[in-house]
Amino acid sequence: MHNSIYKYKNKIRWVKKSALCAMLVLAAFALNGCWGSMELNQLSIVMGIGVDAAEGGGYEVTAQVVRPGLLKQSSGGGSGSDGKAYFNAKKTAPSVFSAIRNIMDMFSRRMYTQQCKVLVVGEAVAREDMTPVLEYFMRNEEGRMTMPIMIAKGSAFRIFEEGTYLETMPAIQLSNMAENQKYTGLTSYMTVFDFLQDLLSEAVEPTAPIVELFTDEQGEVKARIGETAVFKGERMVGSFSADEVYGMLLINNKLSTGVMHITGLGGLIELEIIRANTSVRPIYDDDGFRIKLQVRMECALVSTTSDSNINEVKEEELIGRLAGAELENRIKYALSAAKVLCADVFSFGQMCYQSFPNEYRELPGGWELEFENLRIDMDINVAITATGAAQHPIKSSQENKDERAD
Amino acid sequence: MKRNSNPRVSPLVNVRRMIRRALADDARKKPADANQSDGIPAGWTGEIPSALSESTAQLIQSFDKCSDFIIRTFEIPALNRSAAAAFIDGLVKHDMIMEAAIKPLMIYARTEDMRNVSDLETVRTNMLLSSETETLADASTAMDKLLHGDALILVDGMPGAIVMNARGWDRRSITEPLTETVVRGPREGFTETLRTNTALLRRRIASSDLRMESMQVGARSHTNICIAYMESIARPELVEEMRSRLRGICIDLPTGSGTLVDFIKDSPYSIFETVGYTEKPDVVAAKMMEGRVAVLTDGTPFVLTAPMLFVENFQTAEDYLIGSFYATFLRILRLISFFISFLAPAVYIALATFHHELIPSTLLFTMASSAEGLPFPAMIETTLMLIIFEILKEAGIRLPKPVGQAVSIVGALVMGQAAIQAGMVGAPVVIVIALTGVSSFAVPTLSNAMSLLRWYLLLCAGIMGGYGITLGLMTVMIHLASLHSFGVHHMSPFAPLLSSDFKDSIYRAPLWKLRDRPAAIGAMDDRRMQSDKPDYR
Repeated sequence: MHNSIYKYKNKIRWVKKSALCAMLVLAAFALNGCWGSMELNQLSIVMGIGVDAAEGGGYEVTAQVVRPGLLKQSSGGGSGSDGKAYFNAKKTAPSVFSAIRNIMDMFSRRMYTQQCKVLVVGEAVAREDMTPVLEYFMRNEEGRMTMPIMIAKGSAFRIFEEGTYLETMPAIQLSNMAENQKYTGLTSYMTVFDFLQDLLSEAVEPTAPIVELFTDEQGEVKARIGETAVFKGERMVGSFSADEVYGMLLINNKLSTGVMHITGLGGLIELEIIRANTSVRPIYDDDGFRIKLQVRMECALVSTTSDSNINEVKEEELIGRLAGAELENRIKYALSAAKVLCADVFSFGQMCYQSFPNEYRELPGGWELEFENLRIDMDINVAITATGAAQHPIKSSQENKDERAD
Repeated sequence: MKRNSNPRVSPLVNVRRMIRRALADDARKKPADANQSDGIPAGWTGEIPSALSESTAQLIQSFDKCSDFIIRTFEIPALNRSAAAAFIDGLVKHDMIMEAAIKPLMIYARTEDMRNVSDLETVRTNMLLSSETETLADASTAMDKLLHGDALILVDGMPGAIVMNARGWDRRSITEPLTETVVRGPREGFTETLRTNTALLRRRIASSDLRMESMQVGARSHTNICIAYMESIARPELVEEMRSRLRGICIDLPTGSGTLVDFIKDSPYSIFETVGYTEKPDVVAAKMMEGRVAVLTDGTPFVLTAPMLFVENFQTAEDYLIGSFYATFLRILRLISFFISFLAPAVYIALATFHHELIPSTLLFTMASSAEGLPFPAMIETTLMLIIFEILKEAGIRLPKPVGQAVSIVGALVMGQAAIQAGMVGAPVVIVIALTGVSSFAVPTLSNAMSLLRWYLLLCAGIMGGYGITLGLMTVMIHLASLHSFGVHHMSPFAPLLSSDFKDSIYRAPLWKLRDRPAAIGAMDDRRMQSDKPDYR
């Protein structure tokens, strides 16, 4: 008799358990947000988006789309428009979003922007207002915030039209180019996210690399990195030259590597930055705000045409001092250029605000006025820590040999 | 004996055990009174009569139309009585009956003082030359022995019968097992003969501590099985549990040890195996040393071991014969291939139809260019290829070996290559399916479960992408965590967490570090060795 009772109890337990499991699983169905599958051959993969100002208002959006069927045949960028592995779809619409959506009216496949590698904004749009463009990427989950943003000198569409050297399509080349600027110190590297962050914070002004067209030795038109666009709020106000960007990156502690030339000691000396660390400390005293800038840099000597013996400690110190002076100059360039444009690209304002919020709020003319007259104390120290495998410059060793021969 | 001496046995299992035991009691009672009603023939029952004519008549009647039954009557001059030897042709060695029974009884036993002998016991002790003899009074026991290959000797005027071991049938010799091949380990494998198998075990454990209890399973087949365990290591309640579960089996004929598994496993509806099996005596010996119980079944080279933990799927005999670092590497490799084997198609589907943003751009281009012009959506493509793979696998196993090779050639070259070239399926799918197939062979004991799991997760991924895989995996995990094997949590040492057992789970510590037996199984003597360091240290 007792068997059946156990069986019954077990059954109840089982029913309860499975009902609970079913409920949990069913509830889990309601948790998912994104729904819907897409076959790969129903998608057009957008690799780059260009935004230009359209005549008579609105935007002219260029989407660089992969043509997967032609990818294998044309790996070198393609010769002739039919062999290219990409296609530039252009659409004019009042907003970026509607343009990207409506490109479909001439396309058989849905635009897939999640793999997008680069956002190129035409100079005209940048000078007007960046916010309507960025709005789409900020609000919409379809675009990646981690892709680099670039400003096109002229039209973004033209940038996407021109061929590449190594990559299969211009968008990938642009993206890689922008990313590699981390190692050159020639311009700033900005992702859409960084750009938005700088744009949204009150005391920092965003910058972005400019991409321009040039004609190379073969007579082909190609794209390259140019100067660096400087924004004030949502508008582009001007640009920094390479030297000025160098100073800016140094102040912002974003210079990780790069090459520095100095002339002195009777020749041209080239240094490679091994480590650079900049600390910025705002100070508030009776005369208002002051910035204390401390730069500590370690460099390696890459090449020299000077005939002095670089292994001697004295000489190293001398080179270090020369390099320090050079850095100071560049910082000054950057500062004065920024002051001319009235754009605080160094986020000094934010630091002052964080350290002295009350004083910052009570500034009589606001931060802009204060920035124009901001005093900077510089403390720069460059150490030469490596001189490579050669002891003397080739030229001077040659001379020594001659002397010995005499 | 304290009932719940192992604290890790969950209370739920106790309830279940009680139910099982009650059921087993029922089942045990049944055959006794249900013999006739179930249509199971009673055979020869009752006391064996003293008159030879009567007993032989009964025997012959029992073995009516059994052409392999032989009864040979002869005279014993020393006793001046007639006698008979009954046996089953093919199960006995004729020489043996001749030399050990008929010859001594007929020729050598001529001494005068034997004339007055009237009891069978004296005949057995004084006149037979066989090493294993027994006198029996019960007819059904004698019948059973006869059917398992013993010879019966009946003497006129003496009640009962002498059972003499003369077993000798054609048996497969001990060969290297086809599964679980090892490079450095012993190559002996179990055979179909129970006695050979017990001998293989005894050869490895020369101790009376190794107990081998005999039982019979199969209402009509009377198949001999044997429960083997280490008396001082295995928990008595575990052995008792095994006994009672085996007793509860009511089936005509267990065709192999797998038949028993279906009856004794804890979650009968689970796709996961909760009773281990192996073909290697060294593995059984090692498992018994950890407190497990083994069940040897006559007629199959596969021996069952219980309780079984999930990690046992990833352990092989070789692991303990090679260096611990390499063994650990292999275990991780097996774990990876386990995940690949049931997740790869699902992950592929999720990536190719839901999460294109997760694929590196260059790979996405490759996938997109191979997807160009394909007739089927990815889900159908994968399903088709999986079905084809399973068909090839099944065909390859069942077909005779020479034909099997042809199948694999046709399958690999013709189907794979041609299908891609003709543009019917994409290359990535073929790669994924091939990877899936190859990986599943790295964890052979799980491969059946994985074949099913693969479909389930594929379906989840096809409906809901990565989220579906998460959900599917969750349900599988919940199920796995709820499994028990003979009162032991199947997923331990992970669920519940038993950090002391980690040393022989995902990684295998050096053998001298495996000082304690696995706590999950709960051996009586949980210390495996007294010191955990080699002597020379």
